[in-house]
Amino acid sequence: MSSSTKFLTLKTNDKEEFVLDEAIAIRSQTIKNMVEDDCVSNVIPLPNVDSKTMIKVIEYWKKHSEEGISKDKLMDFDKAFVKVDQSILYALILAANFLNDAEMLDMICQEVANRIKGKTPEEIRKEFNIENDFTPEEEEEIRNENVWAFE
Amino acid sequence: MTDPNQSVLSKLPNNVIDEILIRLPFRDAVCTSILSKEWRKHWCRLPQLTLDSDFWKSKKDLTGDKRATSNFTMTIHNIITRHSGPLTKFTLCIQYWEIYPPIDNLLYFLSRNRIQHLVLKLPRQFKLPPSFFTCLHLRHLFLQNCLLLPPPDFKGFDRLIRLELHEVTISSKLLESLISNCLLLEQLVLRISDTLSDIIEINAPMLKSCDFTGDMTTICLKCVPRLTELSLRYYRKDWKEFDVANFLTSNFFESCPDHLEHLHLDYGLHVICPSSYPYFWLVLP
Repeated sequence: MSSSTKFLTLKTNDKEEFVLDEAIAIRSQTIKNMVEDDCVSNVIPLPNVDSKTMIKVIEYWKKHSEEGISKDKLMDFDKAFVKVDQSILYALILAANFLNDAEMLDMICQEVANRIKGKTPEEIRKEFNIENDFTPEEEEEIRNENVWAFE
Repeated sequence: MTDPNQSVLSKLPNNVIDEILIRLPFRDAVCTSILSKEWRKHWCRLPQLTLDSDFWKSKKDLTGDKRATSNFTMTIHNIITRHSGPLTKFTLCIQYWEIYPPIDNLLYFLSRNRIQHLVLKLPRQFKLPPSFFTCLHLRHLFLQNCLLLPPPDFKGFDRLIRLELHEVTISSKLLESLISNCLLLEQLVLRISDTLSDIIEINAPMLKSCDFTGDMTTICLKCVPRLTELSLRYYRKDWKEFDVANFLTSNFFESCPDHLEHLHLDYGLHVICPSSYPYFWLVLP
């Protein structure tokens, strides 16, 4: 490792510390802004991210920073990366949103969209535990507005 | 409810829910409007809407039969009456339709919403309604297959930074003034297989990249001081042969700025399909 490599310490909300190459950590626009504005002291607190999620995020960042890795390999990695339970996926979305990593957020939002795609409203409600708070009359009215979409 | 996952999806920040919804085909996104009151709100304030081929279910719908037209009218009506909040990007792809559905009200609505990014792929010779020329906040514009006849007092879209026209029927004079009125224009893409009546002069002080497909002897790069990427592909619907030698020795390239970094010149004597063109690359220092 070259002597010019700088390291940052990231501290998650459950007090775990992660030491990471700055070049990798600045995939996060949030961290990049902090580094550029020179407001980085010794430790960067990440109040919205827990350690379990941060391990996944770092795994993603490291893979996407590998030199000479092929697009196919990255695609395979991404595919496997998002094959996780909903709760982990949401934690990752919130982390990507807070860390402001547009590429990662894009990939995970696409995965959630894929999980919604092609399902009936009833199936979506069941899969994502969404409570229907419409009265039957209200629901009927909305269905009639866009009757083609529910055929 | 005992499930710890209860409504976790619904609890995501609004910007994230928007990102998820805009990645759904239109039909699926509409379906989310019936999930719950919260989701209906998300749908009604979605800042980007795309009505493309995913919207049309059957092949018949693609060409615009009666049912597709009535669904289209109903959908546009719903967007106009229910949408709340900013609408920054709108995409409409009905280029395979054999009929011309009314889009005047839709464009007035988009204009009132200060639409910034508009993609319209329309049937051949579809005449753009007057409301189109009132969308003065546009920064990105993509038009395919339509006919542009602006009202006499139209001064151009002066905020455009990207303009892309594919097979648009437009007079040489209008095209020239449309481009020169966009002082901020950085990217220009033109696909013109019909022959232009006059040579068009391109004046664009901020233009960085220009991608032209058509008869390049009909354009002249008059004032493009910041151009760094130029791509020219020869194509004419009447298959008239292109005199490459004459073009290369013409004074066409004299007006190119010194710092042009990439020049892609693609010419074909008998155009069958673009990928079979002989081509060469010239990279200037």
